[in-house]
Amino acid sequence: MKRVWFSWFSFLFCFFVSPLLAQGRFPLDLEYTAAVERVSRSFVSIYVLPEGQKSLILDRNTIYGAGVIIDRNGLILTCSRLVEKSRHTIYVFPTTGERFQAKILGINRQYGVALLKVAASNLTPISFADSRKVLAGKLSLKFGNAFQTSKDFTPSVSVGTVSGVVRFPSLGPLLRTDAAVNQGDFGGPLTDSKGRLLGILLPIWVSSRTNTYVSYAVPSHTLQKLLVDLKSGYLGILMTVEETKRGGALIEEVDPAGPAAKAGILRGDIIVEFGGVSIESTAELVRALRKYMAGDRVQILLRRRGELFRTYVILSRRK
Amino acid sequence: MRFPLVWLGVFLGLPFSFGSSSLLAQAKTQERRAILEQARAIEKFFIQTIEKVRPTVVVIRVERKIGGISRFGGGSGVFIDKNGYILTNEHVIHQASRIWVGVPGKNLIPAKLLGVDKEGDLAVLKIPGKNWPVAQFGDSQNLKVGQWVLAMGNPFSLAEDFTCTVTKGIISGLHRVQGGIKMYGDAIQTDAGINPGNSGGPLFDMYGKLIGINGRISIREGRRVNVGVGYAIPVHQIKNFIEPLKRGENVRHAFLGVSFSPELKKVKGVRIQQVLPNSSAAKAGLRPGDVIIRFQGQPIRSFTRLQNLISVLPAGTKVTFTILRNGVERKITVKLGYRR
Repeated sequence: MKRVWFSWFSFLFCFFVSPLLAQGRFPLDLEYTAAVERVSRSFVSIYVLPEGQKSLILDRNTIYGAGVIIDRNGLILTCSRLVEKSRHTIYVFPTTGERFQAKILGINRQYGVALLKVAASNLTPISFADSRKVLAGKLSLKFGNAFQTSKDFTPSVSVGTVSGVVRFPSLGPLLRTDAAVNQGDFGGPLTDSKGRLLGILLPIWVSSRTNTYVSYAVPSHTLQKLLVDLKSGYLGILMTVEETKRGGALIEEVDPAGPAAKAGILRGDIIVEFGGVSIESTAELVRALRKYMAGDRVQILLRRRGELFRTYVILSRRK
Repeated sequence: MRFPLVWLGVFLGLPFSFGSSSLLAQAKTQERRAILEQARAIEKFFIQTIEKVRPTVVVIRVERKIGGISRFGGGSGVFIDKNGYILTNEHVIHQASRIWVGVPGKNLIPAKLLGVDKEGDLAVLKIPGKNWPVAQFGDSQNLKVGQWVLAMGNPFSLAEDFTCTVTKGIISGLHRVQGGIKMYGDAIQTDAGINPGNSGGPLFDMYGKLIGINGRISIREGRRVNVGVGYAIPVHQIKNFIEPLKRGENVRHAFLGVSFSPELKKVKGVRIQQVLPNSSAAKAGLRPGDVIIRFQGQPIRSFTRLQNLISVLPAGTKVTFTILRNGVERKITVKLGYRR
């Protein structure tokens, strides 16, 4: 397969790129400007302002960064450092001139990635590259909001290479890049030269908060794994893996601050129906839960001491 | 009977298997060669462009007398006319008592300061001579983000022999506004390495056309060195000022004299918050609350856009606004003054 792809590549090279060289066009210009155009449609600037602030006055204390649209119905990936401050409102600005208030759907502290949701239905998602195949030396593009220098919400783009695929204790592999990543670029996408997502940029680890040509990104294949959990809503129960006699999922513990507790669910209850789907086992409940996001209202049928109860739960975001 | 058949199969199959594997190997080498060729072509492109424009880049050395003590400084510049006209930043030659130009292969040449554009951070110098290599102006209004660029100059005054240092990168952003006493309007943002001493040096596209003059970098809390965020004054702004500058005139930029408050709600244009007394805006009858929706026929969606369009114009330019006042569209024509 690879060989076939390569021969197509050389074929395309001979027929499309060579004539361009002959005409005196710089070949990388075409590829890069096309990639920038593509990614710009999925790029967002993020500003986190104190609650109640009406105008977009930006100063040195403003929290700002970038993100990338991964679903046309308003799912946005960014880094968690940006959005963790309480009593603040998150504003998301795509390059189209629209502006949205965002909610946090989920946060993964281990990698420092956050998933946001905005009320939109017609956004352009970025396509994912397979970051497992990435080797050091691959040309990459960074899209960010460096020093909030862009006042019109267009990205600041810089070029570099993937300078390493590195492992840290207790983490999976991270991509290292030498593209200029500065304050405000965090949460933005790192893409390949075709504009496909390689990773989400993490805050740089130096005190000056300026580029040192060493930055890290959470690779796209890890993001895809994290997304399953980030997307699903939080119910706030621990279940037993023990099979119950008459089917259903037995609740072993209830998070007192979680949505389940608020809905009156107690330890020892058995969930037999979740959102209209009958639940036979713990695994089925886990599967059913993944279809819902934070903020969704779900109907639950419980069995408590042989009696059936019906209740509603509003799923919260994962902490 | 079975054995001979098997052997026959083996004998017939062998050449085929050898043939196909060598064919595949051949194809692979060819592909590798094609990729290498492309990489070499790209490298050659870089080298050819650099060779073409490198002679147009010069070193600027200045002497400043501060409190009777001579201090030396410097920057970069570029030839824009074969009769020895050189473009550089105003901040490079600011308060200079003497200016020299360093050209590769020659001694320092004393230069004469002609015109100055303080707000736009531009200055034109002249050295004697008739046949200097010249950088051709490109079209900075049709650039694209992602396009490759080359910055040239004399960072950290490295070049004792006046040959420039070349750094590469891409256009990181367009239409950037960097405010302050010096207004970088409609600036080109690049991640090509720009450091102290690069100021006044040219930014070229990959075809060797001058698209900007490097003049400023963004920094935070660190030292004044490159972090991959530099700004260049676009050539379309320079074109608006170059003739008077060459004649030795000091020029001023257009100034409207209104302030805006960026709003979180989406508005059709930009709503004026304040009008500066005695400014062009006041003279034209603009009032707080008016919404500017078009400038010179072009739709205005953000304050930045308006700032960009106005900042590249010389003072005295006659312009037309379309505004919304109490829901009624009006056209206003005004001769733009300068900031007092």
